[in-house]
Amino acid sequence: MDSTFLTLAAQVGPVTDGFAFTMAPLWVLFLPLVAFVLLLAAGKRLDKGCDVVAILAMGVGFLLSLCIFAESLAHGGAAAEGGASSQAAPVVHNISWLKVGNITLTLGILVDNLSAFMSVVVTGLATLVLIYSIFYMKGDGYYRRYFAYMCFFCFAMLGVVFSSNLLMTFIFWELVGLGSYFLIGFWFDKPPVGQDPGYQKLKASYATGIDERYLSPAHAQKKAFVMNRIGDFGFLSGIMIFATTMIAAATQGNTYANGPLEFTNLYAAREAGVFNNIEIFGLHGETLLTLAGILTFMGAIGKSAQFPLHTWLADAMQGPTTGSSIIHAATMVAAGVYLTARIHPLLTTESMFFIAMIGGITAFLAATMAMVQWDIKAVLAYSTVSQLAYMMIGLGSGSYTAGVSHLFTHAVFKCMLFLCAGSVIHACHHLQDMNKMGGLRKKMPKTYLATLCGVLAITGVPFFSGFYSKDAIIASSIEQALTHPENALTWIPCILAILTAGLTAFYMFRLLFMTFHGEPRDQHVYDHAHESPAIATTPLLLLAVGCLGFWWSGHLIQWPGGGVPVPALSAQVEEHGEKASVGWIDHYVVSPNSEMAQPHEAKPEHPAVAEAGDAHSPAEEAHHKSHLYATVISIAMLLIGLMAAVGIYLNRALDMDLIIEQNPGTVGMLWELASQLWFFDRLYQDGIVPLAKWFSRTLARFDFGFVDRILVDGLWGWTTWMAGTLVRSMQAGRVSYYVGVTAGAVALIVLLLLLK
Amino acid sequence: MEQAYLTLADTVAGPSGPDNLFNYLLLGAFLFALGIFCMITRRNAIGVLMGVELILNAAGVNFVAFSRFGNRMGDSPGFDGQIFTLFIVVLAAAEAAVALALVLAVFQNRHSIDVTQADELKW
Repeated sequence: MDSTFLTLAAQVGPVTDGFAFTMAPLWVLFLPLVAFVLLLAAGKRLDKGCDVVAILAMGVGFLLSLCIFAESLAHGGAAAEGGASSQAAPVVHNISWLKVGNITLTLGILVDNLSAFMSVVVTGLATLVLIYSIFYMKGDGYYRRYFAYMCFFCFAMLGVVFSSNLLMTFIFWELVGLGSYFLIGFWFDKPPVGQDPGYQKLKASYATGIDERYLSPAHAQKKAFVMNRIGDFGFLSGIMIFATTMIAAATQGNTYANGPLEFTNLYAAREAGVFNNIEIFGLHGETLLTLAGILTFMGAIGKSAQFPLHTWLADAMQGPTTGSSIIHAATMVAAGVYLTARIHPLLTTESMFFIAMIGGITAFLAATMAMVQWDIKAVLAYSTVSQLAYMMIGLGSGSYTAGVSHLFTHAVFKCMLFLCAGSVIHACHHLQDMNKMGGLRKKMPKTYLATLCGVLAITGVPFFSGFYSKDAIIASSIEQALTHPENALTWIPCILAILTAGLTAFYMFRLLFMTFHGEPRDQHVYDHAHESPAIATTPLLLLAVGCLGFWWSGHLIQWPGGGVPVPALSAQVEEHGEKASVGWIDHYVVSPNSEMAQPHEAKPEHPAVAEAGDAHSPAEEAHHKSHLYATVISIAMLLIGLMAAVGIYLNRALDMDLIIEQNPGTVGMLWELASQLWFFDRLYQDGIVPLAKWFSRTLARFDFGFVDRILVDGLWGWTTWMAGTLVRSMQAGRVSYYVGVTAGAVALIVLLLLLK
Repeated sequence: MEQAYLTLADTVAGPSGPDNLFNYLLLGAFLFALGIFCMITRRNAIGVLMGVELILNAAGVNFVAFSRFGNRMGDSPGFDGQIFTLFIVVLAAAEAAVALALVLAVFQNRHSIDVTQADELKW
């Protein structure tokens, strides 16, 4: 990926209309759909081969995605040789779908480094998860249906990734929600956990805050879908604002008539000041953009389980763990972040602040909830919510790079962590209670190694992938706060992010120690535990390699003199007038695309050539300081969390229950609050749902009682009946009567003709 | 020629007195009306058939009237109408035979030829 490769590729000359930009994305997109249809249509005939079909579809998709990514890199390198950006403009291929007047709505594929790399990640993770699923779902009665649903879900997700306009994103967004619905409620015939004797036997003794009458796969899938829909209401409203603006601009003769909602057109429109020329709800210009941005972000709130729509993700653990690993770790919930990244050039300072605040609140809330869970999957679920919130903090702090890089690092390590959890659960015979685990490190060494890599990555230990991206996020939030002294509230996301870093370290190491270290708490479980077969551990170890840091930032491992151990993985850039190496993913994928206008209030990511001497601008100062602070603070929080976890769960020097008993006011209350999930689940289940049901019932009563009974059956029914009675009295049945009527009619006609 | 329509005054004492086309047409119409009235009001099926005969013969009268007074085809003395009427009479006879067969069949099923009782198509 260094310049030699790029010049070579430039000589070969990738064409933007070539296979990689037109047909290959379509193949990647539709192969999973074909597999889905095949698996459903073939029925019992494919009960044996369904896994092969699915893995083939995703595997071929993965290889094609690699080709697309390579072509995209070459295209970018060739086009941007010596330019400011490492990426070329996105390559967009559209078909016109709906023509309304002179506005054409399109469907199309957008290929740039971000979408290509995202598709590599999605297809790659999907392939590994499907291989793992052969082990995990073995013996399940619905084996084939599982692979079919996974293929459908991947189709929908790839649609979101490759979509070129907001409307198409929305369509596939909904399909992704549908795929998630299918997979969460996979075991739809399982009773609610309150009535499930197996669960009652296996669960811990203390409360979790979720009402057990309403925790079943069927309830969970409903909850997920409905909460997604609430977010989609905002998303659609945002799309409508954008569409109105763009169509109004198109009728004034700009070039947006073909594809008003294309991302490239939206970015250009913002640059051209189109949003200043229109007034919607009395808002225009930046305020209108803020509203549109916040509304569109509501879709991401729903999809990525941010506050206040965060409660569905924990319930979604009712589905298979492998489904969760692909959906609720790596892809679907990442769709919200992906969308926010795509609309990042359209965000204003205010909307970014909103995003960062939501992210900060969610991160902290979810981290506290993760600390108190006894179910290994629940910890990971709340951890996902918290890490997604981190991505939102990053994007909301104006740093596209930080948010998007954390998206990718998180996808890899969280997917792997879920698969490890699945391995543990399988080994302990479907036990998910960490209180009954312990000491499994000796019995399951490969799983332990993978989990260790994942935990080190998520907590942000240097030299692992998570350190780089988390550090970038904290740095950007500090920088945002420093460069915006007029708004003191910008410190809130920053402080919450820092606190959450500590909490993350605490609960992740708690998970590790409770599960793998110490003495086994349940001898029976320990005796029966065994390592998973190779088909399961190989994906784990492959993903563990992906958790290492050198993929993301070459300069973390930099020899003195500027060399890096793996030169192929880094790029030479001019930074502050000196040559430096940055990780190629950082440079080629997660840097904002040159065509994506920089957010209008952003500070320069890499400021232009520094003057001789050290006259740094204040922005640069903030940039440098924030990185330094972030590194120090995040490592400090990591150590604090680690120490706490070691003390409580490894050495047993401190006892959590004792601490709670001795501090009922502070620690005890906080623990209780977190255990009750800050009462949001209760609020929604006992407050909002009955309200909605009451509203529906009232409306139904009105419909049945008044409209149906009085109007339809009564008024109009009676009228129709009367008319019918009158008309049918003409059917006397007697021939003579018919003759008379006929003769009379003829006479009448003749008379009329004569009189004419 | 003369006026297009014949008024009532011309009816009885027309250009050639009471022997004009209109009067014969009037006769035909009157017979037709009687036949319709018969068809509508008779209860007996045979009575209805009598009405049908009346109607057919009314048409025949019309034909004869036109053969006497109406347009002629060239110099022909105009027997066409009267030939038509002969045909009508024959056909009426044939049709009456068929109709009587129908009435017979109905009687065998219902033991009655009262048309007011055959009202099963009533709503």
